[in-house]
Amino acid sequence: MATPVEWFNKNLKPKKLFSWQTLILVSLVLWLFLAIVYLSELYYPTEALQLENEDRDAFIRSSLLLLSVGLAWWQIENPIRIGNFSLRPWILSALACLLFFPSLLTGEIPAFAWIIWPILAAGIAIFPKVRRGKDKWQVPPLEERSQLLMLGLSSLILSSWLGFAFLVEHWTQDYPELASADVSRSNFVVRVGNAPNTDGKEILDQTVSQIAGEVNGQTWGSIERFLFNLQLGRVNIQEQVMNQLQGIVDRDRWSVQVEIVPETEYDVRIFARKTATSAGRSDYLLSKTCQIRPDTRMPMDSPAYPAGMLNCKSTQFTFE
Amino acid sequence: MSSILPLKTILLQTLLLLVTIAIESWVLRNRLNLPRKLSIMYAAIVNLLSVSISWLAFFAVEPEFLPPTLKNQLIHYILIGRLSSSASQAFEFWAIVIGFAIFFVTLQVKVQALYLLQITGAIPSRMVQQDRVIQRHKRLIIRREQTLAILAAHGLSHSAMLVILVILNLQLLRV
Repeated sequence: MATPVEWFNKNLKPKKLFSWQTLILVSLVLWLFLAIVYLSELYYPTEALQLENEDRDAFIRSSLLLLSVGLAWWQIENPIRIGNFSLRPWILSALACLLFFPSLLTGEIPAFAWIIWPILAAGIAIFPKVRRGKDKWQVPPLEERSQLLMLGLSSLILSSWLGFAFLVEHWTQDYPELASADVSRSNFVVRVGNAPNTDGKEILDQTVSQIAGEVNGQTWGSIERFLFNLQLGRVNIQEQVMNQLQGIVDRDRWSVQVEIVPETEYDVRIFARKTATSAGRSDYLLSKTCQIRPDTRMPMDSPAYPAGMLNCKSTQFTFE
Repeated sequence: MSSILPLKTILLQTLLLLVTIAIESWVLRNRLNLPRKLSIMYAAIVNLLSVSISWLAFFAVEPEFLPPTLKNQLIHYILIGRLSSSASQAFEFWAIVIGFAIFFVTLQVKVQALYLLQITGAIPSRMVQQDRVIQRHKRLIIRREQTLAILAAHGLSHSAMLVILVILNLQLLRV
């Protein structure tokens, strides 16, 4: 094991003034300076050196620029390899995408930068093969052509995958309810993390709990009375639900409806319909089927027997 | 990034590409008496190309040129895994027609691309000897043989793909 000092002397100590090690070290010093300023502001807010936000941004930007150029330079001089495969084009391309689409400060890398990254990497890998000397182009030898072709096509496919990921994201932004939909049967996508809470989900959940309040533990007679009133429109379930939920954004676009499925005793279907917010998008419908059944866990000699119990299935998303 | 990621697309496409390249290179090697390495290269290049072109076509058509109902069904199918219940019978018919169309279009892409890459010298082949394309009538014989071999390979690999997709979609495996 090399000590840190030995490691530094071997890997990071500049061999000459104008080298990639210098750039990386200068950027590290800038980071150190920023860290000191930040800590002093945290602990001694009154006496500390006050940096304006723009100055701070300029500092961060320039140290990132130095770091990127230093890393790129290092990669050009001695690229990292995994077996026979050089990582240099990929790292150079990533740095170029980060620098030319400068949203580093917000932490958001635009879709275009992601999508262009593999294609640019393939371009960087292919470029030295078709370039000879200062200004001469050449056709690479026959053995290399097919490999370069496969590299180019593979990077195009990688870009397509990234593009597809952004397309899926775009869809879930257009139809937020799809972001919380059940995707377990899809052949294309998986959910990473938890489903977000959406307006439609809240509306359905509130409707279910509203109905559950009238059903769970109630006598069969009162359940039937409730359903009868619901069917005749004497109970305005939409108003009740919406009064409970004040945080819904487009309140006027939602409509809630509960239907009794014919020839069942009793299945109810809950619908939450949303009309499109803008042209080019479609109306959609969230629906849920719930069963009202006698509670079998209840002792038969109880006075309330048979009491009801509400049991709901998963939510369906449908375009209209 | 959203929390819904197309990781299954990536895995499935990689799996299908590997299976396809293995099957097609085997067919090409047997029917055309090619060296092992060359047959794998042919199969890899034509399949990577047809997948890339399919993606580009998808990105070109998806945002603008699909009627809204079709686009909604596509979104629903990709994310939820089945067609929206508002779909009509006609839609399933068209889905099958489009499936067949994709089969024949990608077959044509493979046949034409392989031939073009060969005679332009982008990949090694029997049709180019000492940097010169061989005579037309000899070329035609090789080309006809090659087209038939690609048809056989394409048919076999797509049958295998169909089997894989059916197995993956069996209800039994969906716990």
